[in-house]
Amino acid sequence: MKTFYIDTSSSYLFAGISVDKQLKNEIKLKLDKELSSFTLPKIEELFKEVEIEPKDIDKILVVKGPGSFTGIRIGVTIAKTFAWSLKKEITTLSSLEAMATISSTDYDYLVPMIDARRGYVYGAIYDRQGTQILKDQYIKKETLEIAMEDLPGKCVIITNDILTSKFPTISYDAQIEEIIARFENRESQNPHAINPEYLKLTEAEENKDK
Amino acid sequence: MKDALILGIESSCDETSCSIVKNGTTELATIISSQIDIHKDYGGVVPEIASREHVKNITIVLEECLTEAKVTMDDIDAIAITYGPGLIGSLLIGLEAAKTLAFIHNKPLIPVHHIAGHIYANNLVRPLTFPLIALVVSGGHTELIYMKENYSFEKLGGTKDDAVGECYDKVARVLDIPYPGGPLLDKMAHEGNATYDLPTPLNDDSYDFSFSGLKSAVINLVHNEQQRGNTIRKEDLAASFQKVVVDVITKKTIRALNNYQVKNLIVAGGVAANRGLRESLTTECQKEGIDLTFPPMKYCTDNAAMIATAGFYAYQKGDRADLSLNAKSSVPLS
Repeated sequence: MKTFYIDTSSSYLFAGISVDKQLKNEIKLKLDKELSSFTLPKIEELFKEVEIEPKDIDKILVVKGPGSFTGIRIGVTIAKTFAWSLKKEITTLSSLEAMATISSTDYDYLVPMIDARRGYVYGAIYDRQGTQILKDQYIKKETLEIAMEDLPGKCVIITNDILTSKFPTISYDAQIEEIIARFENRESQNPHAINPEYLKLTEAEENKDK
Repeated sequence: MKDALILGIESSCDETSCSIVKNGTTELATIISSQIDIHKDYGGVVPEIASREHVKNITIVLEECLTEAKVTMDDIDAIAITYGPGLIGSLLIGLEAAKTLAFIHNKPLIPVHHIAGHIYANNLVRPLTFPLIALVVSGGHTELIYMKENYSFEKLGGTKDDAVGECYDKVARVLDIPYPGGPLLDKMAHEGNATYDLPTPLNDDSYDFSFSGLKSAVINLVHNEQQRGNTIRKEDLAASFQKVVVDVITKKTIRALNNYQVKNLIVAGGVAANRGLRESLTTECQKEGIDLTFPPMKYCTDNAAMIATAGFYAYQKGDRADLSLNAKSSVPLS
């Protein structure tokens, strides 16, 4: 199976193409504000380098969020347009699931966190096999740390943001081959129904009934 | 010449739209998904909500359009996309979809300025005759453009602050008229008399406009009348406001036509639907012997048919963008 992976939920572009669970090539690039300009040119290069045409892809695996609202929309729009137009299989995973995917680790619990400002994070708790212990949510960082204290094993925070914590923290480096192997067999969805997972209402919606 | 099918995509504000137009003149299909009912609750377009809606709608709109036009992506010659100006988050959805289609189907990507689209909507009614002056009036724009020939744009002037449609919506809000208040304000103006005294904004020799002072004058007037315990005659205030706006736009437009010795005027944008403006321009153009074109109502609001149409002429001219094309919230038409 030829799988195309794309994650633009942070300031990074993470993308890769694998054939039968073997990664052929990948992109790991900090693009920040340039995400909208350079995601597709970089993806075009990726396809050229591995000499695979978009029409040859069997399945698209896209990160649906949470994270940067604009970032998620870029990846999701590309992925759903690609899948719809070429009639390809498509499925999603969350950015936190991707962050908690590490092929081998000494830690028992992996706690991905994305800074959501004002003391809040998008976070979750997974064990090292990827089983969800605490579901993805918009949560006070302190509250998540209290949940971590009760875990019966060693835990580690995985983040690319500057978050101070008494818990050990490692920076996120996408293990794209492992991510694809772990998630590519997830059930496919209708491309029209693939949408970002923001985990947070817009400010206008939050303030509407105030 | 071989027929050229252009697929246009427009998502600059709160409408997700896709259209397929043949040779810049024949519309095969246009699908518009409007979010107006969603934003109504907030009294205006909420950018983040608009962006979220565009992502939900984009592939559905594309599919409906291709189905209705009875064509496939293989039949499409080029993809035209609004890259600006507009709400950045909204623009990006159409843009990423367009770039993805260009990439996976190996089609040329044509960058189209939103205002060029509004102007070219008139080409779907009858071919543009040059030279011409285009008056673009909408919620985001108030501009006078001189066109010597196809796809050549010279901006003569524009608004220094609020766009005319924006001013209508804000004044409507002051008068407690529900969003989008512009069309209702226009209707009320026809039921009243221009009895309130309001200042004519930027009444000078330039081709520029300014509407924020007029908006403030209306707010002050309402406030002062309320302080005095007087009831506002809403229809009369609407008529007074509309008269000031329509007079200044008509005056500057006619002067531009005379100074540039142009006999063709086209009107474009959402406010082209305004009855007061239509009547005033029709009367003045008749007097001056000017050929006037208004777009049909369906092309006054944002739509992708106008983008596919403008895209055809941009395509003929050789305009192409690569996959690094970015959305621009503000960009001059040139």
